[in-house]
Amino acid sequence: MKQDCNLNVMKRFRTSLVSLVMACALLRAVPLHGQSNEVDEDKALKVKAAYLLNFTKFVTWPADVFEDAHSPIVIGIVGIDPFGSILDRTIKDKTVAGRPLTVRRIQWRAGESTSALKQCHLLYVSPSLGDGVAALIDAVAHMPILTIGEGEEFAKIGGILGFVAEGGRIVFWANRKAAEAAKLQLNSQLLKLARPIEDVAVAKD
Amino acid sequence: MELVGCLLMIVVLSAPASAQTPEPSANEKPPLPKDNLPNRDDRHPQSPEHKSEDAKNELADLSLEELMSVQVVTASRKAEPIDTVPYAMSVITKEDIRSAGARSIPEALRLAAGIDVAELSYSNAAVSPRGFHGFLSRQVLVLVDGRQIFDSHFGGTLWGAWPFQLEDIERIEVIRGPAGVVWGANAMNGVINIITKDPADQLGTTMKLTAGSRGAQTEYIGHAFRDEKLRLRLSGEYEGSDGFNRGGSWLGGLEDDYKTGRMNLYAIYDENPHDTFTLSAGSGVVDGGFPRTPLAGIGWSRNPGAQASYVSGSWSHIIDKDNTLKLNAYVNDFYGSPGVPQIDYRYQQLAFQLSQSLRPSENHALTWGMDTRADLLDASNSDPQMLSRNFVSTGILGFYVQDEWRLAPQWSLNLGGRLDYECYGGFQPSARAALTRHLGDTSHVYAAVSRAFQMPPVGLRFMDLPMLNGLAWAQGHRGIDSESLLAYELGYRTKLFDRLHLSLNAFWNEYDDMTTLSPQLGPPGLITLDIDNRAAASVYGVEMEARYPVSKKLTLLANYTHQELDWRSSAAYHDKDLMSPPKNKAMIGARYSATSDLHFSSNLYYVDAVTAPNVDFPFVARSIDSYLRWDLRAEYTFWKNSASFAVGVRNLTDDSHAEGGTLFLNYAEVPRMIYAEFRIQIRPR
Repeated sequence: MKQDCNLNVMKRFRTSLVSLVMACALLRAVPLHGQSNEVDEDKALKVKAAYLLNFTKFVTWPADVFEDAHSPIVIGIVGIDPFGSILDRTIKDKTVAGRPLTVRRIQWRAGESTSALKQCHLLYVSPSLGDGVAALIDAVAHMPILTIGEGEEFAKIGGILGFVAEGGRIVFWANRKAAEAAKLQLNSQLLKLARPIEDVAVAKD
Repeated sequence: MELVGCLLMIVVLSAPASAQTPEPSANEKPPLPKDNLPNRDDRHPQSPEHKSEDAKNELADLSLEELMSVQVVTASRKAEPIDTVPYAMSVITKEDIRSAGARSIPEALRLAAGIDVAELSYSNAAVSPRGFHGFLSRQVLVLVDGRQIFDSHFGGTLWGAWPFQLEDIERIEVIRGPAGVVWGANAMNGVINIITKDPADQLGTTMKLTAGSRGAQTEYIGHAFRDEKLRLRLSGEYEGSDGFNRGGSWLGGLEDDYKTGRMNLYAIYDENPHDTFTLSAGSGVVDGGFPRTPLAGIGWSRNPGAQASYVSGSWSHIIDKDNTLKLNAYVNDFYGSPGVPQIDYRYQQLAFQLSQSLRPSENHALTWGMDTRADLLDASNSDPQMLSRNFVSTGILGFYVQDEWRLAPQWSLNLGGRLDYECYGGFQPSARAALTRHLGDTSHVYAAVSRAFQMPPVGLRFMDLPMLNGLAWAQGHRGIDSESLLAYELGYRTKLFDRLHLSLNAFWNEYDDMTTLSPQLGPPGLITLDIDNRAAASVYGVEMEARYPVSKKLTLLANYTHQELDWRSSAAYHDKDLMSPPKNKAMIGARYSATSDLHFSSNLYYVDAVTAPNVDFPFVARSIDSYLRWDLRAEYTFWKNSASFAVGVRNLTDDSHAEGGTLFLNYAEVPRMIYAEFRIQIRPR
């Protein structure tokens, strides 16, 4: 009996070992599979930075948000800045309708004052904000600020434009109602190219 | 002239090849690429003049529709090069440096075609494009973020003395061929432009530790942060080694141990969208590093070492989108002694550079600039002497214009001219004309003809240096002329099969008034090494460089150079204290990513036999055999790419081999070296 017991133990040990090896192999297979669609992060950031520049050409802000005809368009980045120097390099030396562009990095948490946010015309909301993304969308929903974030979900919860990786490319979703609530006019060409999100709630005053 | 005719004919004959690149109609004439001019100040990667795709966002001008079609899935973790400038140009990125396991900039430069590299000791190397590489290669200009590093006394660059930190380098751009129109004196055979990282791309704290054979160790720590307007990095490094410790003349033992501490600061301040300021400063102290030459004399010895410091600042002002003004200023302070009491010197260089880039019309780009530099040289600590005076100074003033015209949709013409004035050398002109035919978006062919010069460093004019306890003296004189070059180039760059990046270049360089150290009998000692312009030479050759991402995991690299030297002088070539250019030189490299975390790389180098100056017997050249060098590296990354551990071996193929020599150092052989490396970056949350 003792011998049988030992055999059972050995058998269970071997079964466990084989299972462990197979599990490891499977785990190894996951990143390998993922790697075949590896996103070039640097290039993706360059595309997104170029989108941010482009978006400023397809949005009309209320006239009173600029001090004068040459006031800069301010792009704010809220949360951890994923762009490094890419966005600075993208907008350097660029003008849109005669206005230069400038970038501001803003550290903001839910419940804090929105005074720094108000100074921006476009806000890229970093996913690093976590739960603060929704809070930020609520906080600026009725300000003339073009909010841009990551994922379809961003536009669904009230953000205006959300980047999505699709078929190895970066495309964007647009929430037209959120733009209307922010008193921003999105150019028809932009809306035509965007994936549309309709019937979503916009934070109330 | 026949060669120029041939080059131009080839360019012209390539015109009918437009079948694959249909001619746009007149009103579709594409605008002139704004970044098509070599930039003399690559310090600020945001510079609108900046020409490298690494530094600008080449996607910034795409429309929304075009952006939606950009593939962001990559075939490799390597960024794709590069540009369409009518120069033979290589870019060595930070990924290249890391995967090649390079421990120094000269080692990284082995990755580029057409550049001769010979390691002379642990911390000294002979580096020059297209021939004339020696301990102090005067025909190549080295820049760090636009700041020139060129020895006031001997000329050339002392690689081990300046505070370079590989971890801070974004990329190295190598221009092979004359670039004197933009950079002036000394950019005769080419330019090596070292560009450091934008602090925004290195945020947080980075640490790197390496340890290897022969006591080699490096400890690096750097911290970078940013706020709304300021990006700043402060970093420092200690590097130490027992040296190569192989080789040495029978006249004296080899000591090439090396210890150095370095520190660098780099800050970028964006005052507003139009004005950007940069400030950089650094300092390094070297103990050892120069294996003492036995030619100094018996008993003539002191501890070798060096100190190098710099402060550099720039202001870039965008007047409008087609008009940018840039002002740079820097100070270099250097002290060095290679272990012999008669060579002990210090110099300061103060430089100002002003440039303006304009686009008068859609098809016309223009850059003009002026620069000045003062060199103050102090040799009062040398014993008994190295110059005929204790203190020497000089100044150089230059003015240049570079113009680019898009003549037709597929043709562009670059014309540049420059005039320099130096206190002792007088006026010297530089010029370059390049005609480019664009064969689609990714291919072009160009032909160029250039005139460039190398101004003798002021220390060479006043050199009065005893060797062998005063039995021999090296002596210069005020009237040494500048070396001049007439260069003809033909280049072709393309992308084949949508992946294979290929560049081919051919060149013919005609040199005149080359300086030599010709031995003559007579006072003040028994022999005088007279420094004068006694040589003419031709160097010609072809270069090939290729990069092929075979699959998502595998990238292959290759380069090949063939070059010939025709030396015409009563003085021997090795009297110039240079090595002959290797006739054939090649590199084959592979980068393989087994998984997203595990990377392997292999680099195999071949360099043909050369002749070199001979420390054992200076009147006869020393033969250096051809060598094969194989470097291997494996790297594992973890913690979301924030940390990595690597092991590697350099020069696996032999126990040790000689690569060159100089009269100013004892000779050392490059040994096999193994190393381990740990790197971690703690990014801000």
